[in-house]
Amino acid sequence: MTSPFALPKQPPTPATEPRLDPKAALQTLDLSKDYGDGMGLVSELNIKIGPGELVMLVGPNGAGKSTMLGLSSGMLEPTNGWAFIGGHPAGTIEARAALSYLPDSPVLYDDLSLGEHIEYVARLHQTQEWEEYSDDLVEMFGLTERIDDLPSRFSRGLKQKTGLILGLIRPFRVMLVDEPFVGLDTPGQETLVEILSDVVEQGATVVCSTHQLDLVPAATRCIGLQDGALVYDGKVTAEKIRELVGGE
Amino acid sequence: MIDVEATTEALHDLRRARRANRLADVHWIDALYRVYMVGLVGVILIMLASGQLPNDKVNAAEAVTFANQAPMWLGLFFAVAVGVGLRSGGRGGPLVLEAPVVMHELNAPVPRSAVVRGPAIKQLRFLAFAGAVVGAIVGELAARRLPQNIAVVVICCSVAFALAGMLGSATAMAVSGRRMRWWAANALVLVVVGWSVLDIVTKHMTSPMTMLAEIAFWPITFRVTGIVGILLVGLMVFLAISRIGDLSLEHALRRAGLVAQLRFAVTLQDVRTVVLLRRQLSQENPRLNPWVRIRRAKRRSLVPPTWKRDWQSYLRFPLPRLVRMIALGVIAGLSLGLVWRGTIPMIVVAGVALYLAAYDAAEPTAQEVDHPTRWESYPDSPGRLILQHLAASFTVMVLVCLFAGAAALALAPFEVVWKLFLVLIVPVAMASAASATISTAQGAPDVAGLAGLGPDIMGWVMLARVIIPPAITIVALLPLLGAGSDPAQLQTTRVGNATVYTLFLVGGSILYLRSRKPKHL
Repeated sequence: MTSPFALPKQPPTPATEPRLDPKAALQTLDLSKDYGDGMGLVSELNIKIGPGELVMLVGPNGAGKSTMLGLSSGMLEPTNGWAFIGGHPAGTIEARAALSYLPDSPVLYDDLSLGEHIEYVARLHQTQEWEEYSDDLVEMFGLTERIDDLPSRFSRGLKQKTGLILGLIRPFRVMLVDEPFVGLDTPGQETLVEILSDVVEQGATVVCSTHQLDLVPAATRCIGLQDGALVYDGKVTAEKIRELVGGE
Repeated sequence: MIDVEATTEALHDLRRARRANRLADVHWIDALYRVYMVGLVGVILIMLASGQLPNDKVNAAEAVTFANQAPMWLGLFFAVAVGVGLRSGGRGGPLVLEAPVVMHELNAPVPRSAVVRGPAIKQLRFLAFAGAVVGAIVGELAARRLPQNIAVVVICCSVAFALAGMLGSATAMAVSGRRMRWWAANALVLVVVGWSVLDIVTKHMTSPMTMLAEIAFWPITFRVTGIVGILLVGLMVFLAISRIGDLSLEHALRRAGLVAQLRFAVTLQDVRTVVLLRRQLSQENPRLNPWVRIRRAKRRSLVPPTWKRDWQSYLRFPLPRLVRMIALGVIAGLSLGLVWRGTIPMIVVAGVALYLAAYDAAEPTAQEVDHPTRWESYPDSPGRLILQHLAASFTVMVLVCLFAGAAALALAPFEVVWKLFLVLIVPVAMASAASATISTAQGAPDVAGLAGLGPDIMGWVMLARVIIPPAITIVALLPLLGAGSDPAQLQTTRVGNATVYTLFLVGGSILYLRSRKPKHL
């Protein structure tokens, strides 16, 4: 009989679950999500991603990419299975400290300027000497002139850039990014590719849900999803991405 | 290593800064003027209401009898408030955090309880205050007829309602912090409300809600069991605060988006959007599998496509919506029973209940209004299409009226109910279906267009948009007042003649609906 409480179960440890690798940057174990209506959004995903990888998460619409990222970030609760960030169950304080998650639409305060947003997020994550890095990021995305403006009144593209800056300003070991290229202008897209490559070079892991072929040279791995299931895990090529997006 | 103290301190610092930013933007004169106006209108309304009550005081013995019976009814009211809290908690309520708070603060390496405790205490405080105000008003009105000291009555009522407000909110938080599933929370609602109903039926004070209600009656009869109510509130507040950080982020994020839209829709008085968002908030979705599947006709069917489409929609209504429609029918029936017994103002309650039920019955029409491009793509006049939907909506309202009639039997004799039912069912079902369809088909107000009329006229137009539709249903019930109070000499002919005015109203409504066109945003 179903329990009247939907409290999360006790997470497995390497002792109880031999598949769990504490060194993996991101690992999912039998990760599943459905809304109890028989329509699985993600079913029994088993993925292990190591440090320093840049993974392109690819699949047709409704494949379960955003759900997988939401589950891995702890924003969504799995129906079954687990997601781990650096060996810590998703959503725990350690996992939150290690993970930077950027959803497909940026979530911004109405009453804070761009500069205030950056300070808030940086301080919440105890970022050391964030001021200089913040200036660099703002300049790279061409937002120096808008630093005192309210992002809530920005265009879609500028909001996206603000979201990216907030995701990058804080320390992280894993970054999950959902469709970051949507709404960005060409210079913004180029900057993003450059930044994601730098981030990976510095040892962080990036999982990026995108079909943007510009990211292919920098990406180290491609994970393909279809109908919530893993259908491909291997090398990235433009042809493979087209095939996976087409759902063939 | 995460320095939790430092991050929590940063959180508090920056929250203070945000508060200061917000306060700097407040127009104090405007705010004070609004408070003054609300206060003034409130005082006038209370004075008017208390002026309507009889002034003769009851004697001490009558007051004691009152204090022996009324706590059970007040307890039922408190139980319903707690039930609302339970339902809200089962769906991730009652807290509504801003989406960026969920995304940035609850996702930061800060204990989640540190993020949520502040808003939780604020909500408990607010509901205690709101309860105290309502309790003070009720106490003031009651004290006019009681022989007790007015100040003591007001204070005790105020305390009881404040505690009930806190209890409702704390229960919701305790349920959502413990991630109780919606069905378990709903089962608890039945227990809590059922226990209070049992108290009323058995005339025994056993429910904790009744005990809480006893506090309001302490000036008349002091019962020590009232302290159980206070202890219960204390316990529930502890349970709420102790685990509030364990709330579901998934629910919190969903609620954040929906409630922000809901507030905007309420500001615009966009009733349809409010209904839609409220349904999403309570996760009231159409059934994936209809109750009965209507098969595709094999041969050329004579059934109009709108009629079939409407029933396909009704057959996907989720159980809570069906239960709500039946409950509204029952409320309408009981209210009409009270009207027949002489409590004339209950006709408003009956009218509003039927109107709300009709709002659900008008769902297929609402789907046309929500999809204007599709609506105008049909090779027929848009108004005619809306009128075609009215037929199914009317049929559903006839069914709701059947429940109303059955419920009315609890308060009125059978020979009265069936005669009046036969006379009134068609005009009332038609009027309620038409009124809800009008409200739905008028769509969101064109604020920019109305602004050109000036603020005063715009205010009246906005008010009329909200008031006229339910008023049509209430007017359709007015002929009931001509029935008389003697079952042996029921004035059915007079009631029947009066329904002619209802039919005029329905005719006017049909003409209005015939002129409706799709509105693009």
